[in-house]
Amino acid sequence: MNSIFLLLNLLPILFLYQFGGDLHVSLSLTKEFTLSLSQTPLGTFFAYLSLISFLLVTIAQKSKKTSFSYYALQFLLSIAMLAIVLAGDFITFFIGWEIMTWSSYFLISKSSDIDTKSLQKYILFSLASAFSLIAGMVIAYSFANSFDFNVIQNSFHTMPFNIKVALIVLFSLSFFTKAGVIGLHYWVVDTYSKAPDLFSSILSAVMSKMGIYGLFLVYGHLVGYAELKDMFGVILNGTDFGYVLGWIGVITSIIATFKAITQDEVKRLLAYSSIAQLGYIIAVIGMGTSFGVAGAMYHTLIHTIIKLLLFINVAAIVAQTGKNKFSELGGLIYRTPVSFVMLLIGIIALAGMPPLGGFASKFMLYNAAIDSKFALILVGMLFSGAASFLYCYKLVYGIYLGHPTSKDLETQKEVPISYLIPQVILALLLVATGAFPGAFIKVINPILIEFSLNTIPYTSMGVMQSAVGNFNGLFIISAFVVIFVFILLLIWRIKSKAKNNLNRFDISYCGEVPSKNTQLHYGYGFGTDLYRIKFVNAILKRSSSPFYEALATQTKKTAGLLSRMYYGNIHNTMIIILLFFSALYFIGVN
Amino acid sequence: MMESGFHGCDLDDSLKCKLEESGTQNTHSVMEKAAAWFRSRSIFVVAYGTGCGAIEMPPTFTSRYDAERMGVVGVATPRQADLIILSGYLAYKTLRRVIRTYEQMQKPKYIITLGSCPINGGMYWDSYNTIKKLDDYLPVDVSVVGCMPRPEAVIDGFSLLQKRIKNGEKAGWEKYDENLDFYKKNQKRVLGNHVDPSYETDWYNLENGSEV
Amino acid sequence: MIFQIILLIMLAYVVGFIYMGLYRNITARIQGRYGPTVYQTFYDSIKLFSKKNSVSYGWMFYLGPVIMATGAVLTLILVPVFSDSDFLRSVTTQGNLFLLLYLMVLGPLGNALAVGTGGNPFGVMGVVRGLTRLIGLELPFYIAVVGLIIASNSSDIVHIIDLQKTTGLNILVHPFLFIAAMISMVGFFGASPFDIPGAPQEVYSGPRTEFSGKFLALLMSQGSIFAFAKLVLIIDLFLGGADSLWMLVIKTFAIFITIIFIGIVYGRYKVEQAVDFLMKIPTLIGVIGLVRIIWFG
Repeated sequence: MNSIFLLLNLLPILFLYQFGGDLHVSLSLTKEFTLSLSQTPLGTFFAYLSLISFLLVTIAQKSKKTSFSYYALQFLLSIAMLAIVLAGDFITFFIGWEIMTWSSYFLISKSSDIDTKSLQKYILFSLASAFSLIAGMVIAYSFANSFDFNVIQNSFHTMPFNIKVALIVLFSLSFFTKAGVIGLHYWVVDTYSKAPDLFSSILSAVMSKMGIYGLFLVYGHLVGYAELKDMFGVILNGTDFGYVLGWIGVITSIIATFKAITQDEVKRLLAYSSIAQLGYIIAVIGMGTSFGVAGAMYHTLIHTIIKLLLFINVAAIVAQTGKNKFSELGGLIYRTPVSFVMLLIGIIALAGMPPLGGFASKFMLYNAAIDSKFALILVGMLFSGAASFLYCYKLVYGIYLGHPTSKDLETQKEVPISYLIPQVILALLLVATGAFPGAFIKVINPILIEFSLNTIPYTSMGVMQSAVGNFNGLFIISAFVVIFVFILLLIWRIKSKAKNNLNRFDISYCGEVPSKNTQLHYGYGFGTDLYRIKFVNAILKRSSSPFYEALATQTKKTAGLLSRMYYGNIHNTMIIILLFFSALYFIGVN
Repeated sequence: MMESGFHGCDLDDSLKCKLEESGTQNTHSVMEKAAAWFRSRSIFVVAYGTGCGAIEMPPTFTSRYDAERMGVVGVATPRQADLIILSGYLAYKTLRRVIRTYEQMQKPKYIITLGSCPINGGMYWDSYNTIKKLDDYLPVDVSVVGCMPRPEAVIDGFSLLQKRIKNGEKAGWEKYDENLDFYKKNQKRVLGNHVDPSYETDWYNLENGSEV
Repeated sequence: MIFQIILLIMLAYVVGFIYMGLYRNITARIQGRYGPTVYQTFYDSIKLFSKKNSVSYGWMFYLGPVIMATGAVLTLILVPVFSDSDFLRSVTTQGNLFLLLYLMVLGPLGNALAVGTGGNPFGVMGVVRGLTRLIGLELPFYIAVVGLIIASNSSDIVHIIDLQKTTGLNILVHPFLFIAAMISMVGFFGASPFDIPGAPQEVYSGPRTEFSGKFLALLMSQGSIFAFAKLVLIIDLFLGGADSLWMLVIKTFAIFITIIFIGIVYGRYKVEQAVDFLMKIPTLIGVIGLVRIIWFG
């Protein structure tokens, strides 16, 4: 079954490769409603991104027993996403959006540890996102008399100012919900952590990117960055709009980073990390400069690669050990060395460390902020990056380093090869983007032209060019390797006899001898220091759940009031209905 | 000041004494001589405060007497240390930890003891739970006598040790390696059969053909 | 170029070790002691290299110090050492200031992996303290660096040095940023009051607990090379770089002795106190400097 769906997943990629480029298909249903696909460079990029992700995840699913319906839903989801990114009008976009919501809902419900509350959260927020989207669609239609993107784009500048603002806010809210901006992220963490392990990678790596695609579509395509600048004015060297979005993104990123550090569940940490990384993208997406768009695009790519890699890695470990908490894992490095190296590459990139692709995207993001002179936003991004080292280390330490916390961890074997193949591919991609950071500029430039922005100068594959300095990824990575090998040989040659592979209990422990029952793994104690820092404590002890809980309670009470009409005294109900209709009548008459 | 002479033989008659007298030169090449010089100039100390002598160590290392000017400096972990100072009597319980610490130190490694107790039991000569002569259990390089020795004496001990390292004289750790049977037997006599964690004694016991 | 790089590494090794020796010596003199010679750290390093054995807990433990040393050397060769010569200029132009900011953390993170493999909970505690402290420590430094990048509109260090010839030294033009960066630097050098990660009274030697022999020696050597690189970075950013070896030594020493004098008089902050402090006063100073540049520059 796996191979069938593997081929099936390959089909859209081949189709896009063969017939793509300038795809324009439309199907008229009525005079006004037309379903159309229209390929743009932006859509092409996101299409390949999501399709290849689906392909890799399907490879990983080989060794996991998966039902036909799961595969079918996943394939449907990939087609829905293809429809979203290739849509030429809002109707097609919305149909894709709804199919995406429902198919993912059923996929999430297939998880063994999902509960009703999390599912409800997911579907409610998805519906809210869809309602916001449909409200925006209808308002846009009422002014442009068409759902077609190009028509809306052309008539946008003729709309009144408040309508423009309303449209931007409605669309932004819809896509922010999908991307999980702080405040609207309430569903993200529960859903990501409780979804089927491999599906979490799709949720984090691809589905959240649909929100980013939507934002690009609205800001870059429908509204246009020039229009945004005209509408909201200029602050420093950027737009007011970009400044607000910048702070939203940075605050999202900082809060989510600190929350991530204190999680005990592996997938919850990764979920918060996703929110934080998407915060970076949102921070620069509104700046309206070439570097802003390029940074957002680059980080979209890198984050997709990283999160696929990390979630597949974690899924493999969870499947292998049956444990998903840092306090229950540990010490797997010499049992599953390949997985360890893959996760290591993932977190090096996640932390934005130089030799790998993570730095290239971070550099683009920082350039965007420098370009607009948004200094404090840049400091915020750097700060959040520094804090993210902690959760990166927690991720690798909690699972692979330290001591095994239970006996069965000591006899684990390497994870199945089908999990490793996609990881190796993704890790190689990270190395490649690190060595050739300039190569991706060629992909970005057509998108910049599409958004009528200046292109970014391209010199060579290895060099990342920017307004405020450049760096040579190829040089850095080769210098790193050369120096590393040199020092390794040097230290190897020194005749101090290294007693290798000491017993793990043979540690300096104040002259004492730790036993098998001594708690030596530090997985649980990680991040407790943070609670004692006032500023961080203020972030950590706040949560959006009381607000939403209260909202839910209030909604239930209101609904309870309404339901009384039906379950209470029949006379009252009749009177209310009578009053309602007479009110309708009088309104109608007037 | 007394130079410990490794007279471990008279305690256990059944064991054929293989201990050599100190003073043997074992440096050959220029490299080894240079290494010996650097070793003598830089001694990392893990100060194991057994007994009352611990009180003499703070003045030795701080402003009044300042051992750091001789390159002798305290470190926190046995992994980094070259020298362990045992500053007084050793109860059996303490000995167990001291042996553990000593075996975690990296070669070359040295032991300095302070006071009379590690030499002959001192005022604990008839105690039921202290060892009388440390040299039977671990190879002492320098014993600084006195009850307690003043910091000047401790520093004199350091300089004696430095002189011996510089001259490349045979140090305690080499004797420990060579006469492991002797030391282990004595250790086991007071601490019981399982002195160390099994993974540490594995190599010892297996070499002697017995199971742990 | 290879020859120049080796020359630079040797220079950094020697100067770094002498500075580390001076650190101990001057600290001793301030405490009223005679103190070790300035070559003491060099002796220590050679002695550790000549240890007869050194323990390892597996290949990741072995590679950790190597990654750390690689990070230090890479940082060193990417920082322009001499301002007016083309000494290694072809190498330094391959990187930029953002790259250096991240490279400076690469080594410690690589070593943290080795510490985790070592399995000593005290070592990991040290690492976690270090990373938590880093949250606070990086903040003023980032502010200073961002301020300079925006003020000189370039993240190219050579450009920042050259610009100071016309506008005046950054220490005078942007004093607030300099103060913020210096407070961070005290922490980067592991001086009090920000020396909690390796507090010997609490967590052995923190991250270095399990390292012995040649591994510890490698860590010490990279420490002195890294210290030199950090000093050169600071004089490049704020003191207009150095055009000769003498200026290099004088300027780096001036920065270095300031750090010693700050470090010696303070006790040790707990990790939360350190971060709290760093998030308040140095950050505020830095933000003042930053706002000055953006809005009034």
